[in-house]
Amino acid sequence: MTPELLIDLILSISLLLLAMVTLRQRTPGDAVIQLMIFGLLLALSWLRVQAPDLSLTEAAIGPGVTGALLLASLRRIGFHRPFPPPASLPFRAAASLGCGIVGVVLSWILLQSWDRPQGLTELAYQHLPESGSKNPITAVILNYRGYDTLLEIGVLLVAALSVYTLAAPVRGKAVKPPGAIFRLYLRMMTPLFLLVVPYMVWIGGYAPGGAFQAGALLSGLGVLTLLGPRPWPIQLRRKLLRASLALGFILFLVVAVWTWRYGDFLTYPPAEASKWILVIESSCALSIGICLTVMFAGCAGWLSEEREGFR
Amino acid sequence: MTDSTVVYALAGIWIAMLGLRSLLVNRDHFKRIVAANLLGSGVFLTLVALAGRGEGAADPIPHGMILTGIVVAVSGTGLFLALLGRLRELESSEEEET
Amino acid sequence: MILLIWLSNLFLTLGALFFISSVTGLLRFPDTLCRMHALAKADNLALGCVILGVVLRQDEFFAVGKLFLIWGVTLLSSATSGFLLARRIRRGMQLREALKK
Repeated sequence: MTPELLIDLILSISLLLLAMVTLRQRTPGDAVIQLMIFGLLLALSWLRVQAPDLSLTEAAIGPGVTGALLLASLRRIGFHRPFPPPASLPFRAAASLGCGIVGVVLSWILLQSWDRPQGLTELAYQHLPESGSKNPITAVILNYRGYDTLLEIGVLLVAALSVYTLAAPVRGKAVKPPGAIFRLYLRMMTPLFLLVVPYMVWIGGYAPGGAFQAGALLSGLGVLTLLGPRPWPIQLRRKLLRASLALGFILFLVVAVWTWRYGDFLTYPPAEASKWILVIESSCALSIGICLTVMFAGCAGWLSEEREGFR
Repeated sequence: MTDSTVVYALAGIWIAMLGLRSLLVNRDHFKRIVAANLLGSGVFLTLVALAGRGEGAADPIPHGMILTGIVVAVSGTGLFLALLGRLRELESSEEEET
Repeated sequence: MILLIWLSNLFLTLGALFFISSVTGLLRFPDTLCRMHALAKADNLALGCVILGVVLRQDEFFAVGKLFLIWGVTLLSSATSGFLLARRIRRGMQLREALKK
C-alpha cells in the first residue's frame, strides 16, 4: 500500500460518499452545499489524475459558478422547501437495479481493458511545436479540436441569450444594499481579479490556464459586482455588454473563415498560430465571463426588461 | 492493477450511476439538475482517469473534451435554473392573484 | 538544504494538525456561530502553515509570491464570507427567538 494509493483510495471513496450524501439531502439548500463540497474534492482529484488544467477549471466552475447559479436560483425556488418524495418503490427498485447492473458491467469492462496503450498522446505532443502553444491542452482545444471549442462558445452564447428571453417584464423586489465590509472586499478584489484574468489567459500558452479558467474567474468578478452597491457596470441595455457576449463566438468564426485562405476552415499557418490562439483566447475569456454573469443574473431573477436593467 | 488511477475511474462510474439513478427516480426538478451535475462529473472523472493511466504524460485530447464538457454542463445548468426560477415566479404570482 | 526540508515538513505537519482541529471544532461545537469561529480562525492558520511549508521548498521567487498572494486572498475572502454568514446566522437566531415568544 503506497502512500499514493492510500491518498487515492481516501479521495475516491470520499467522492463516492459525498455523492451519496448529496443525493440524500432533504432541502435544496443542503443539496447545493454538498454539491459544492463535492466539486472542491473533485478539483483535488483532477490533480491526482494528471489534469491540472481541469483542476483549475473545476475549482472555478464547480463550486464557483455552478454553486453560484444554484444558490442564486434558490432565491426564487426556496432554500428550505423540502423535496417532494420520489417515485414509487417498484420504480425505485427497478432504477437502482438497472443502474447497478450497468455500473457493474462498465466496471468490469474498465478493469478488463485497463492496460490498453494510450491513444493519440504521441501524436499530440509530436505536433506541439507547430500548434502555436506549449501547453498541450490549449493546443488541443484551440488547434487540434478547434471546432469543438467554436461550437461550445456558440452553445454558451445560445444559453445566455435564452436566459435573456426569460427576463421578467417588471423589476422584482429590491434587494438590500450590501454593507461596508462587502464593499471593502469588492474594492480590494476587483483590481486583483482584473490582474489575474489576463494573466490566466496569457499563461495558458505554456502552463495550466487558458480562456475557460480566465472566463470563470471573470464571471466570479461579475457575480461579485452584481452583489455589490453599483451593478451599473453590467447594465442590460448597454450595447457594449451585449456586444461582448457575442464577441468571443463572432471573433472565433471570423478567424475560422479568415484562415480558410490558408487551407481548410480553421487551420492556422504554423508561424502565426500562437497569435491567432491568443486573440481567440482573449475574446473567448471575455465572452465566457459575461455570459456566465448574465446567466447568474437570470437565475437570480435580476434580469428585467425595464430600463434600469439589473435589480 | 499497476497504478492507482483506476480507483478514480471506478469511483467515477459509480458516481455517474448514482446520479443517473437519482435523475430517473426523483420528480423534483431541482434535485434532478443536481443529480445531472453528479452524472456529468462522474463521467468526466472516469474519462480523465482513463486518459491519465499508465506512466508517461497524460493524453491531452480527453482533457480538452472534458474542458468543453464542463462549460457546456454549466450552460445547461444555468439555462435550466433560469427556466425553473421563472416558472416558480409565475406560479407564485398566480397564487397571489387567486 | 536539509534544514529547509525539515522545517517545511514541520510546517506541513503543523498545518495538518490545525486542519484536524478545525474540523473537530466544526463537528463538535454546539452552535453554528461557534463552528464559524473554528472555521474562520483555525482554517486560515492551518492554510498559512501549509503555505509556509510549501514556500520553503520552492526554487523561484514568483512561485513564493503567488503562494503568499493565495494566502492573503483566502484570508480576505474567509473573513468577508465569515462575517456575512455570521450576520445571517445571527439574524436567523433572532427570528427564531422572536417566533418562540
